[in-house]
Amino acid sequence: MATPDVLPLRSDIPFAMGSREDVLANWNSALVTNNVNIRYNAEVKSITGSRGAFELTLISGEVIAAETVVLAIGLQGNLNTLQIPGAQASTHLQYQLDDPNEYEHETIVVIGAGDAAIENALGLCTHNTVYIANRGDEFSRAKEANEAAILAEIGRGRILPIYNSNSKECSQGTITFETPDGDIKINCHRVIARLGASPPRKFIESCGVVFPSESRTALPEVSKSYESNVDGLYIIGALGGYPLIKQAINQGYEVIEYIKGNALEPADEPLIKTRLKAVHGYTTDSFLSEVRERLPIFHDLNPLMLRETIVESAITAPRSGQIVFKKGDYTNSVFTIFQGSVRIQLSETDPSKSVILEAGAFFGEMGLIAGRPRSATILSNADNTILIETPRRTMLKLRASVQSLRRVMDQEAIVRQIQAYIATSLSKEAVQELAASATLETFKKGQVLFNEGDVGDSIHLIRKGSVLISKRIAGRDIVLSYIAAGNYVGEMALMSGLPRTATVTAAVDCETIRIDGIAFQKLMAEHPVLQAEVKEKYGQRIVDTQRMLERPEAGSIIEFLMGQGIGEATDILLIHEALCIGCNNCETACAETHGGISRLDREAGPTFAQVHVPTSCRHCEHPHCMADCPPDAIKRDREGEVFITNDCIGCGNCERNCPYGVIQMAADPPAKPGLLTWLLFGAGSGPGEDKSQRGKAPKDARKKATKCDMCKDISGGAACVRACPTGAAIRVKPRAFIDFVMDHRGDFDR
Amino acid sequence: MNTPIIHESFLVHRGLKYFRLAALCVIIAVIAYIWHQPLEAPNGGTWLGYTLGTICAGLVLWLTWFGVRKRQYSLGPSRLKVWLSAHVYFGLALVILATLHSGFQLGWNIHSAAYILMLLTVLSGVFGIYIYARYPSLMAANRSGLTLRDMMAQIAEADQEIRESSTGVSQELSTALLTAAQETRIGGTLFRKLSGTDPNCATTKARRLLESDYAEMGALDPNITKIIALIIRKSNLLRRARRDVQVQTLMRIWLFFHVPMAIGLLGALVAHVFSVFFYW
Repeated sequence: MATPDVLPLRSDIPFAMGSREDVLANWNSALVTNNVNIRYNAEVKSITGSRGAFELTLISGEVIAAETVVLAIGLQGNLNTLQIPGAQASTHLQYQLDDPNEYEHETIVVIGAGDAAIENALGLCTHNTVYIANRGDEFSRAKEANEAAILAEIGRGRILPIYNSNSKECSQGTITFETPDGDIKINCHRVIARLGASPPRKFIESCGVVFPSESRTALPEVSKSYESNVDGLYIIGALGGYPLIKQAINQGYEVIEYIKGNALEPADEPLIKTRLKAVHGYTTDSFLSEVRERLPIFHDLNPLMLRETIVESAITAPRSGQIVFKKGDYTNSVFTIFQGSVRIQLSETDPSKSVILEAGAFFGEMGLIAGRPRSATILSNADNTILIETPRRTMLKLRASVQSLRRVMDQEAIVRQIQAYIATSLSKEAVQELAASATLETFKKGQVLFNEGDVGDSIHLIRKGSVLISKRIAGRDIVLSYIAAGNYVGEMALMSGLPRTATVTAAVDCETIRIDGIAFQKLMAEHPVLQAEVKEKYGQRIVDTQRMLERPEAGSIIEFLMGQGIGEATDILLIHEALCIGCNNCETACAETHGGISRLDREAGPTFAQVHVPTSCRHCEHPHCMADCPPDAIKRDREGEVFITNDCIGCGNCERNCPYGVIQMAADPPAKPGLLTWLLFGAGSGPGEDKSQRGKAPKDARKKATKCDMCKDISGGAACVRACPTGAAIRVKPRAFIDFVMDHRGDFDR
Repeated sequence: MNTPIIHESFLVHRGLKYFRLAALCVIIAVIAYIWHQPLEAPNGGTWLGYTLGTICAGLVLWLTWFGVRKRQYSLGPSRLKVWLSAHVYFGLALVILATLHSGFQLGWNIHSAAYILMLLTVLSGVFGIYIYARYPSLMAANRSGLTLRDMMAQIAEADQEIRESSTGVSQELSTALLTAAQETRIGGTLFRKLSGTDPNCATTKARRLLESDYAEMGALDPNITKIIALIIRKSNLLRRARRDVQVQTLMRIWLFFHVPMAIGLLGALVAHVFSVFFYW
């Protein structure tokens, strides 16, 4: 919670890890003792003017004059509130829910039809009588899983829906809805209204602040002293790109010092100094300006972003010949060469086949974009090499807010990906023209790249995600194959000149490089080697297609596994039902090796042709859980394991973002008693017992996200697989498994 | 760990590696037994008898150790499946090795007690192999995608719907349906679990009542038709749930014989070895 731990706290207001109540109580008392001037109920409608002459207009119409303004309003925006008679005076109304387990045996009305409302209603319905008030008559706005869950609970009668309802009025202990069938008045203990929030961007733009891009995640640019493009208007906290409380508190302290005109060393100065240990002869400022000068991708970063990038990056000085990363590693950081050079080994066996990258260049972006393992081994090529290794999340943040960085990176990446995956034998110059004609395209899961019968005017190089190839036979779509990132599709029509022979659909969210057919044919005509390579692949595809067509039932298991996320998985747990004796030793082993909490649910999850996909992490190529982790506590290890570090602050974002439901929020269970104490005196839970710690953890214990880490710290590999006595449980790489299924269909027929 | 890309049963692990190893041991022992011509009749006291006895005692200890190994969750890198594969085939080999060790001499004594216990333990193990090889498929077929928890939830749903539909039905039927909702049991005593049925099932009674006395009424009253459909649905779910309990019980119950007999065997073995040396 009080992360980043390395950062010192600069504030008169205390902040340390503790329960939410304690933290808030400390702040409240510190606000009093420090005589902080606060105006409550003063919602600001608009801010005009600039330094020395700001005018803040409140909702009430009152105008406040100010010399400077610091915006610290965060990203969440203002929660929308109920605007009905009696709402102001009622204390049973709330707009957020922290812990559904806090309430028992209450009658609770949840208002809203979005994910937040549904999740609240689902969480509350086990111990309470729950109504859900929906303005419409369906929940289609919500995530699929949430929609299915709420409809199921409504079907079971555990949640009572009030459809087509508008809240009309409330008084203490009641709320009244207008419905087509007349008014409904409900007596309740609590009303939880989840009406969404107004995002702050519109308001901030109305103050004159400019955002660097249209991207939803873009943040306004601020100077080193947190000043925005509006003179005298400062921005700190999550809105300035710092979502963690401690950083924001520090900035609150610093921004006031800056406004007062005091020079102040930034709190991260010592951190930057430690990063600079590998380079000699630079001060922080001179290093930062050199970085901006030498590295084109960092050229347009504002000073704060650059500082943060360096703080979050590692700076290393590998000697000549030292390996930076190996082919096949799943690490996903991006490297920039500050000084010296590196050598990319194109062939495992022939060291002479290599490409040199000089200072100013970057590498490793393919892992970032495709989520695939490193495609080549890279070594330092000079003794004076200095590399800046920037972690994935920092890079993604930069890509979202610095357009020039994104553009430079994408252009370079297209050239490199065409080189790596299509034209391996051609030089960079040779593919340059082709790359110029290429465009990036994105496809949502289930969207069609092209249809059977279309004119084949292009090929798609899949750079992120995976696709399914299918053909319509006797009115049924038969899946023929699955193609992962790093391969291309669409060459068949291009080679034969006939219309597309199959339909290609995105199995998960995809990004492709679309290459113009004419430019590609021209390149093939110029380079017979390339033509031969493509022809070989084309021939192989024809053979594969015919083989799969021989067994029209063949694609169904692939289709099923795709639905279970194998299309984006790097490693998946599969249980063969004909071998599983239901002993649960897999779950027990998981719990026993991971602090008492099993990270897999064997029974849950779907089954097809005796292959059961339990609820367990698939270690996605682009982990959904990583998307929004404030302390960046979710990491990917060398072998592709996605794991959660101790930095977890328990916010639950990952649990909500995981489409496969494999993350659970859990407090550490109580320590296990010794074997004899358990055996003789029945103290606590015995070996393998109590995998869920249901209700056993102390009430105030802090919950953290837990998920499968593929037993990366345990020798011998996944404990669930090792503990399976019959061989029913295996963890597999999807590609290998699908190849096997395609070759041995008979084993998987129903 | 050598990661397989496909599921492979413990019985056929690595092309029957442990079956072949165990068979090799047995063949060597049989050849030695035939070749060896002691002065008196073959027995445990000859040098071959002692050798075989030592091997058998070692095997018993190692086989029982499986119970410990099964719980060493963080011990790598070998997989439990490999252990089970070896456990099964060397366990079977033990029958022949121990028989050769005895020289086919049996009597009413502690030595033969150990031998009988060994046979019973292995026999229960063979039953376990049969169960493990056959029942998972049966269980999966019976479940067809539903867990027992799901079945219970669906049964509860059916009950709820029956309750909602049964307002206004006759007192007799209402009572029968209420009893069906409240007094239907899944599982219970061990015998009940193993039988997979319940002759006194309240739901079956209600269904019979509906079918015999209310079927005609159902043609006129859609409410009754609905109740009949629901009770049939519930009956089917009950049958599957009871079958699931039955299969699960079967898959566990043999261990309640296998393990205690193995412990007993261990005791008898100690007594056997002790008496041999003490009364030499």
